[in-house]
Amino acid sequence: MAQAKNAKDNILLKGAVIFNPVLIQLAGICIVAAASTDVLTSLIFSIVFMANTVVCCFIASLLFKRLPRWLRVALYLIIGAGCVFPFAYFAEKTGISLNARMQMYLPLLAVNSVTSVHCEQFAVKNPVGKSLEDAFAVSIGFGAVMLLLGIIREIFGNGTFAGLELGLDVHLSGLLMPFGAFIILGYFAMILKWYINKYRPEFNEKTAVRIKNTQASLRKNEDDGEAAPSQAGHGADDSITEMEFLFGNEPEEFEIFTEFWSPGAITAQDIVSDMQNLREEHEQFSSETDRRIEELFTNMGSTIDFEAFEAVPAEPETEEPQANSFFDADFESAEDEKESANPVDSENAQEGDE
Amino acid sequence: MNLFGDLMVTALYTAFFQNLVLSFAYGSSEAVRISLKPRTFGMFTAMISGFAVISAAICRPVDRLPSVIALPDSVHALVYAAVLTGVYLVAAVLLKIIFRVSDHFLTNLGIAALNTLVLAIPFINRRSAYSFAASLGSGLGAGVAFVVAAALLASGVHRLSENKEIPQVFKGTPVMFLYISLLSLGFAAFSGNSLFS
Repeated sequence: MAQAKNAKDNILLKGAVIFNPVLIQLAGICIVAAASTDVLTSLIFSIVFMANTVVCCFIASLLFKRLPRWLRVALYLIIGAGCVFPFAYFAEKTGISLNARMQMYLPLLAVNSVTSVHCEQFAVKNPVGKSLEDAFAVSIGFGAVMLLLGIIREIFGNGTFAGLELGLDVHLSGLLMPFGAFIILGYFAMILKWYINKYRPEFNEKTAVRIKNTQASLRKNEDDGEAAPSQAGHGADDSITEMEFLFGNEPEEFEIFTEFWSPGAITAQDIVSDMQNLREEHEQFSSETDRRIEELFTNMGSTIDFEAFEAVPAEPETEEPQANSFFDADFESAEDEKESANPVDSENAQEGDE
Repeated sequence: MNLFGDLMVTALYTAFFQNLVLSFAYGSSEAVRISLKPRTFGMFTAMISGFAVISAAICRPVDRLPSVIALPDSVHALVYAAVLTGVYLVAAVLLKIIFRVSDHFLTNLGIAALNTLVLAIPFINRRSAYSFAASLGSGLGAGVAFVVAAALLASGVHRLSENKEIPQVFKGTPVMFLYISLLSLGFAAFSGNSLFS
């Protein structure tokens, strides 16, 4: 019983705070930055967001598990439209405190990235109960950021609170524009990072923003015929690489493989052993490619300097939604979802760990 | 010539003076994401630009249908969402059947098609009472605006990631938000509004 309660608290804490959809996962920024100009609008958007996310996650968990991913992406919009547009119609007809511009942003909630990412990353992989818990947690996290932002922007931008004049001689109208929201969000994120660094250091690395250098590659050394490491990622050598050669006829497989790894220090042994994971996850890997990879890394391993490469270890499938970067997963294929954090900025992550 | 002029003027205005991503935050999550994944930059920005133009091209004539023109804003929104979903599904099915593209590609296509930037374009066109040519320009400009925003973000994010002088608590998302705010402030300067009255 106590364990179950702890698990629930854990989902709430992680979904709402540690992996906050806006401040850490950088999702749903459009709505947050543009619509949170006052408290009432923020409250309305938070409520509609929660309704949308809960319904989407519920239906996704119940019905979408066997549908292909590309189709689910469209279905989230249809469900979102079903949730959001009746409310937008009601708001329009009853003249709820939404100005014309906000009325335009309300329907955009139907395509917000937070909902679709959580549906995709968690709801379709978990039972309904857990999906709902996650949906509520993430809605609380999103709503909290919206409301805090709305309070600060309204007070300092308009000099009012919930429409009531406060008599303050402060009218920083720039705060009502998106750039004002971004500045405040930056400080919110800073406070959250401070909290994570100080009290939950185990999440330091998972909450780090990293640039995904997916062009890790090996190239032939033209002088001696041996393979040598190229500078991976930004400014990577575009010459034909060993791996590109290997996957020459299977660009999709090459993409999967390079997405799986990013620059750093790995050994040939690491790659060979982790190839097993790739095989299990990607049945489309042809046996011929499989054989060629093994042959390359087992036979040529000693001639390749792997020092410049680092493994991004694949995490085991987990039921916890927050163990992955939802934001990342929104755009990536299943293998990316296994990465615990965005793969880059490794310096930052390492320093954070220290 | 007028049509072309309308198109180009609106496109330039939307892309550079009123950058929809940085000034109004449309599609900003996607722009940030692309800046973190430089490898997919070209493909994703092309997709999003394509869908922005297509949605503008379809929604503007639909908006002017006698049965649609008098509907409330919220119903227009529903129409735009339906158009967008339809366009995406048709494109996905065609690509799947004809070119046998992977599910991974189609998922990215879906994200490029179904986001706040692409859905906002028909709204903006309607509210601004743009002509058909200007609507196309608006869609085109939105695509360019996305490319500009994503490129600026990508460039800055890489520099920030290499900067060792940033305090520990500002590293990661805090400094990214602050960087986006500076870019956004830059484009807000074109709006002519008073920022600190």
